[in-house]
Amino acid sequence: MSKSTDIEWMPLRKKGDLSQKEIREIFSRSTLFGDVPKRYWKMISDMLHIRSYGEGEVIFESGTPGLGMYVILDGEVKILASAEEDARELVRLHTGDFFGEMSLIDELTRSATALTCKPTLLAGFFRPQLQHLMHQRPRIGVFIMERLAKITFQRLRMANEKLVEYREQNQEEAE
Amino acid sequence: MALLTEPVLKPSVRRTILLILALAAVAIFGIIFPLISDLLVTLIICLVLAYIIRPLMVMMERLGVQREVSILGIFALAIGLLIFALQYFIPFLANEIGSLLTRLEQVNINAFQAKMTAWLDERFPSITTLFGFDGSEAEEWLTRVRGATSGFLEQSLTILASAANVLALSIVVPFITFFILRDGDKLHKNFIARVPNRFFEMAVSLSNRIDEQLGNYIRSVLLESLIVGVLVSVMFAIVGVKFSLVLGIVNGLLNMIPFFGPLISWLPTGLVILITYDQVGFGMFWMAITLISVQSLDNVILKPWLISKSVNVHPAAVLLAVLIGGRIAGPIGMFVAVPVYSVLKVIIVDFYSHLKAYRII
Repeated sequence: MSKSTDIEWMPLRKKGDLSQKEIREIFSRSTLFGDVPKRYWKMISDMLHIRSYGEGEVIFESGTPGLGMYVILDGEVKILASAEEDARELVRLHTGDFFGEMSLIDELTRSATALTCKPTLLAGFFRPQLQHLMHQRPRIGVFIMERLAKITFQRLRMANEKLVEYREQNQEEAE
Repeated sequence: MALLTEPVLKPSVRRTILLILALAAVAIFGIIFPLISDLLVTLIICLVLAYIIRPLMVMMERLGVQREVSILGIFALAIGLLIFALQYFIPFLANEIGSLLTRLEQVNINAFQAKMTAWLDERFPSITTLFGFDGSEAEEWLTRVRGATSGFLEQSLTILASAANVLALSIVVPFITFFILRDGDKLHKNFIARVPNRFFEMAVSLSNRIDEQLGNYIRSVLLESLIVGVLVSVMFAIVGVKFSLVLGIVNGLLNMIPFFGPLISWLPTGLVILITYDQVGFGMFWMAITLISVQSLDNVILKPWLISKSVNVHPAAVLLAVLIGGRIAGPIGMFVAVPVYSVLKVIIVDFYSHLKAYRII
């Protein structure tokens, strides 16, 4: 794994590499932006930061300030439990998946590290942009916040179910 | 345990580089500033205007008005206000300032000194003998003050004249302001696009934070000065003090200099009341009531409400900034020094804290 201490000037993919239509299609597959009305898309796409990453490059690391989320437009990203070199891999994400979305709401530090597994193209959407959207076009802002809340509650529910499972498992083992 | 990303610089190298950078920045600023001061002044005016106009533009955009239409609409409104001011307000203000200056010219310093001594003797019989209050040197002092003031004002006027050919500015400023407002987001995005991945999130966060802080600071300082100016003006107008409008403007402007500005404002205000108000005792009493209450209101309510704590500045820094500002650009420099210092402080403090938080240093 190459360390990302070297400053690399990654050439940005040209617009032709991935059209707005393709980006829109990838976004429409995500639960967060899936049903954003078409008339709002232009405004959201203007706020996206399209970034190109090399293999093994750190996107963000745990402990640094959380700023926002990324949607994978092309490539693969792994999420690690910490910023250490031998950190445990939590999940591997592919084109269309998104990560870091909790930072859109809270201002806490990142709880995990995101690392590319191969050359990857990402679209970043950040808290200042969401706040701007909430202020300028409250309807779209609320729309995204609502989806964020749904995702959060889904995960909370899943975590609760797992907790109950573990407790039952522990009880059985104790008996 | 080794981290995936290590700070780019080792602490010892970091400190040395920071020191060199700081010295280089001071040197470059010192050399470049006089060369590009015209351009900088124009750009600062445009940025300040853009920060003032932007909330209105956002508000109109929120109502569904196109950005270009919003900006042009605000410009049209501003031009309308300017024409109104030129027609009604400015002649009145010019007339007030003109008659105040004539009044000051007419003051017979010796007679004024005699009046003052008599007034003091009447109330505090021992004070003039105690301090050896003798008016013989007053004329000489006044000449000196006049000389220094005219030189000081000349410095500002020279800078204004070179920086601001009024006709050129009236075309250039709206033009640049329009494009800052219309394309600011795109410029910001293009700038961020050129930042390496390692610094990308930091650049997004830092640029947004500086933008937010700058906007808030500029709008807050202007609003605070406006409120102070209006209050002072109204309070003096209530008791019929002449030139209350000029006094309001002077107090509002001086309020932009923290700590010292409000203190200095007592001097011109007191002088105008002494010269123009018939009941000097009551005038002084009313001035004390007005300035103390307005300044308390400013410190207790306006400042905490409007201005972020992150732009708190140390009194010594204020004094130094005002002196340097005065040296570079005369009275205008004195007014601009503290806001410029505060803005630079916000940028530097935020930049440093971001470098630390993102483990770059």
